[in-house]
This record gives sequence, structure tokens and C-alpha cells, in this order.
Amino acid sequence: MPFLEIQGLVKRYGSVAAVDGVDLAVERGEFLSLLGPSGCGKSTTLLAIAGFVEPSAGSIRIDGREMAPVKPNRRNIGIVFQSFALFPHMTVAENVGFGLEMRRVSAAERGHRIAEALALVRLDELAGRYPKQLSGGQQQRVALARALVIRPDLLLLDEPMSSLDAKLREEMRVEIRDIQRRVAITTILVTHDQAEALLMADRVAVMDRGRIARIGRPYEVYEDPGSAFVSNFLGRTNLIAATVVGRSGGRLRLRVGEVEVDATGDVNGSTAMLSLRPERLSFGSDGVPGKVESCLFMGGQWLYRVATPIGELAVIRPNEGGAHVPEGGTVRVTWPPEAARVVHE
Amino acid sequence: MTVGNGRLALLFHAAFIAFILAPLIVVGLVAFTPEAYLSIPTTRWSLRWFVAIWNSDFIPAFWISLYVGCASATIALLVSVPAAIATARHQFPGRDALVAYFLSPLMVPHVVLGVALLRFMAEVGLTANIFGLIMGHVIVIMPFTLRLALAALTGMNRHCEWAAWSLGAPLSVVFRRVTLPMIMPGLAGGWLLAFIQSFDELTMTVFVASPGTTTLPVRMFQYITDNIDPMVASISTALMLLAVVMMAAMERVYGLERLLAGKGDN
Repeated sequence: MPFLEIQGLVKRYGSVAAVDGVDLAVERGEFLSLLGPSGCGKSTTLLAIAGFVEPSAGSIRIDGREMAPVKPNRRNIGIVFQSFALFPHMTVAENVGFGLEMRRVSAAERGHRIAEALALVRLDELAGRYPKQLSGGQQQRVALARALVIRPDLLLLDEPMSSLDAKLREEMRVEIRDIQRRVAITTILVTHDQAEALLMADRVAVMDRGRIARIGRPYEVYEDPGSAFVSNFLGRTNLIAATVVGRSGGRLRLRVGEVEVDATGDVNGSTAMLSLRPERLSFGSDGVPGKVESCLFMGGQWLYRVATPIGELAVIRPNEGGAHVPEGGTVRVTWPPEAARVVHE
Repeated sequence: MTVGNGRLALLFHAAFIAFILAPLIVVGLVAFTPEAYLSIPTTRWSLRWFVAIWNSDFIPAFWISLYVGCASATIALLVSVPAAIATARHQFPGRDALVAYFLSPLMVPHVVLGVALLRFMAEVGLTANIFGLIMGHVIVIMPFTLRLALAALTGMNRHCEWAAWSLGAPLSVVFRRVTLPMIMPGLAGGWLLAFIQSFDELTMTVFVASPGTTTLPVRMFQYITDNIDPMVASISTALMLLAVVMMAAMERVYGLERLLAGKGDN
């Protein structure tokens, strides 16, 4: 039995369904990310798990226990908000100790556990400070320590890194991931940042218009996105409308204009959407002929835009120190057979 | 980046400030006259009109004003906080109408309120009763406490309450330990504004006040209709000094801008 089980979750605001039938099963100790654009229902799902939002329909079970009649203060869930939501009138130690105080943990035990939690996030020396005396990254760690110190059954992270600057965000991703592994806590991360979701989570659930569009391990979901929406949201991709001209053994023969290509996947009907990841494309001696329209240097990579008979293709090639194809140069774009994927519209 | 004031603008600002300060300065000077009539002291300074305050009936009037101000500001605050929470945090039919109703005393002329209250209190037998006067003041000053309580509540980070709730605090504890401390500067500012409004209120109070419930502004008003001497000037100056001392103290403790802008601490 999964540790967290959500069935048919719906949340309506008036006639609008923010969450429109979400089913989700999370194993004990798993790190799951809910990923999607704003308004896709990921935050509402998280708030329903925490109990701040009352579902219109469906059930949420934690460790087999139905959560509907359980108030948020009885759910034993740790939560970290984007704004960190530290109590401004309490010191770091008082913030972290608040949940223990509510659980009537003795003062001695409390001091011990606060120190332990602050050590976990490497903030031992700042226990006496007030939140406004801390940097963004430090506030974030306090929020994390406050959520973890109560030894929650479930850790919820609501866009926890969105208000940090880029460099710090990257550090915190790795650090939170490490801490999550160390304390082995079931975690749900809500984010709109695909890189964050892919890097941190064991499994990624991509949400679109109140539903889960695709769920799976980051690598699987990235490679086999299933739909145009997911393939475009997870990384970037070239999407090409094509006609189906033949089927054989799980592969489709597609025609785009005058060119015929093979692709993995299946669709009903005679038209299909072909997805080609830019980093899987390369230049070779055969393949689709094209002309380089633009060539942008991105440090580690070159980003080309190539005009071809099947449409304009984005091609990403690693910068290996050698010469690059100049603008206006003629090339042939090629890819390994498994890189061509058919996706739903 | 600084944009300098033009000469005309500077002149305008100087004139503006002069118009505000000139009457206060004149009152302040007159208060120190040794004469028995209104005059600006030229040769000699005297504190006789300050000494005269002590033996006058302005002192009991001051205590009544202080009492009415503190009581009515406190009652207004106690009523405003639940009202502000209900209207700031919950959606219900007639919510906007309710807020408009609570704030409407700002729109009604105090003369009208005074006449209405006089009639009403005669009807229910509350004339010459300090409780009736306090209730009248509560009506007039509640918009101030409510506005600042509303501003503090909408300005505070709601996630703090959620975080506390999810950390195991029942809602009553969330309010006491998190919400209340976070909106406290706004509430204190509201109380202060309300107190000043009450302390200053004359138009309505004139109708309602009776010999037992004469506030300081009413007493001063009565006094200058009968007498022309520097007594009122010395009282005004004493009040100004009191206000300056209080403001300075508050600035040291809290920061006036934060208090009166109704900003929560978050």
C-alpha cells in the first residue's frame, strides 16, 4: 500500500476546477515533484494534502488513514512555503521550536532537538537571531529545519526556491535533496521549474489544467513525454506535424512534406506530432539537408537554428573547442532512430 | 538622482509650512505673556498662565478627556479586530456593504451625529452619563481602528498562520501566538489615531456633554465664549508639549511611520 494515496481529488472554485481529478500514489521515503505551469493545480493539490484547502471531491490517505476529518494541526505534516513564512517576532530557535512546543515536548528535549535540526541545515550559530537578520538562503534553511524538527510523516515544499537567486537556488537544490535522503522522509515538491524537478525528485508528475499529464522517473518522462505539452514543458523540443504513411512493430513511418522519417510511438488516426529533442540532433554526412539561420554561443553549447524541408529545427551541440558551423552554412541534420518520438497533441 | 525644487516651488513649500506653523507659534508665544489679556510678550516672560491651569477646572476636564479617549479607543479596537478578521479573511454576501457601514461615520458630519446622539441618549436615559459619551466616541473613531486593523491583516503573510497551524497549533493558538503579534504595530497605530480623534473631538461632544462629562475641548470652547485671556493659549501649549513628548517616545519605541502606516511586521 502506498504511503500517500490520493484518489479522484477535485477542487472547484465556483465553476472553475483548479484540480480536476488527480490520482497519485507516493511510496514511503519517496521524493515526488508536482511540476507544471502556474494555474495547473499543483499548489492547490499540495494545500489539499496539508489540509488548508478542503477538496470538493476525492480522498487523501496518509499511511492508510483518511485525512478528510483531520485538521491541519493534527496531520503531522511539515511544510515550507515560497515566502518561508517564518514568524518575524520569534528568534530562529523559537521558530524551530514552535512545533515542538505545540507537541508539549519538554524544554530540555526541545533544546536538544532544535540544536540537532539547526545542525542539519548548518545554522547552529544563528539560533538567537531574528528572521529579518538572516539572508534569503538562511531563512530558507530555518524554514526547512522548522518543518523537519517535528519529525513529520510528510514534507511538503511549495516552490521553496523561487525567491532565491540563481546561484543559491542551485546549491539549495542539492542540499535539500541530500537532507531529504539523509532523513528519508516522504517529500512532495511543487515547482514550475523543470530543471529543479528533474534534478531533485525520484519521480515527476507533470500537471496540466488540473490533471496529471504524465508521471514517471525524470529520465523516463523526459525521454518519453507522451504529449506535446509535456515534451515542451520538460526541456525544449522541436515539434513537427506529420502524416502517418505506415506502421510496423511499434514504429511509425511518417511523412513531413517530401521527407519520410521513422519514429517511436503510436497514434490513432492519420496525423501525428513528431518530437525531436535539440540535443539529440547532430550534423552528419546524410540526413535532412538544411541551412544554418543563426548560431548562438551559450558557453557549454552552441544553439543552432536550421531551416530544413521539415521545418525550422533547433539543434544544440556541445562546445568541444573546435570550429562551429557558421551562419549561412549548409548542413545535414541527423539523429539516432530512437530520438524521434511521436507525441499526442 | 535628485530633482531640485524650482525657486517658485521652494517659495510655495515655505509658505505652506509657515501657514501651518504660524498659528501654533503665536499661541505658544501668547502662553508666556505676563499680561491678563492676549498679547505676545515683548519685554517680560511669565509662567503665570501655566500656574493658573493647576487651580482651574481644566484639570478634571483633562482627566475626563484622557479617560474617554483611552476607554473609547480600547473599545473601538476590541470591536474592530474581529470585524477586520471577518471582512479581511472571509468572503460572504454583504461583506463590502458591512465594511462601508463600519467606515460610514467618516462620512456623516459630526454635528448630525451630535444631534442624533443627544436625542437617542435622552430617549434611553443616558444623558449626563460618561458611558453614553464613550459610546458616542466609539462610533466616531471606529473607522480609524478598523482601517488600520484591516491594513495590518491584509499586509501580513498568510502563510505564517498556515505554517503555525500545520506545526500543530490550534487556530486559537495561531491567533494568539502568530497573528496578534504580527498585526500588533497596526493595532497600536489604530489605537493611537483613535485616541487622538477622541481627545480632539468637539463638534459631537458639545451636544452630548453635560456638567459631569465635560471634556477638555468642550471646556475650552465654553471658556473662550465667556473669557478672553491667555489661559486657553497656555493650555494649548501644554497640550502641544505633551503631544511632542509622546510622539518622541513612540518614535523611539516603535517608529511612528510604521505605526501610523499600519504596516505589519513581516
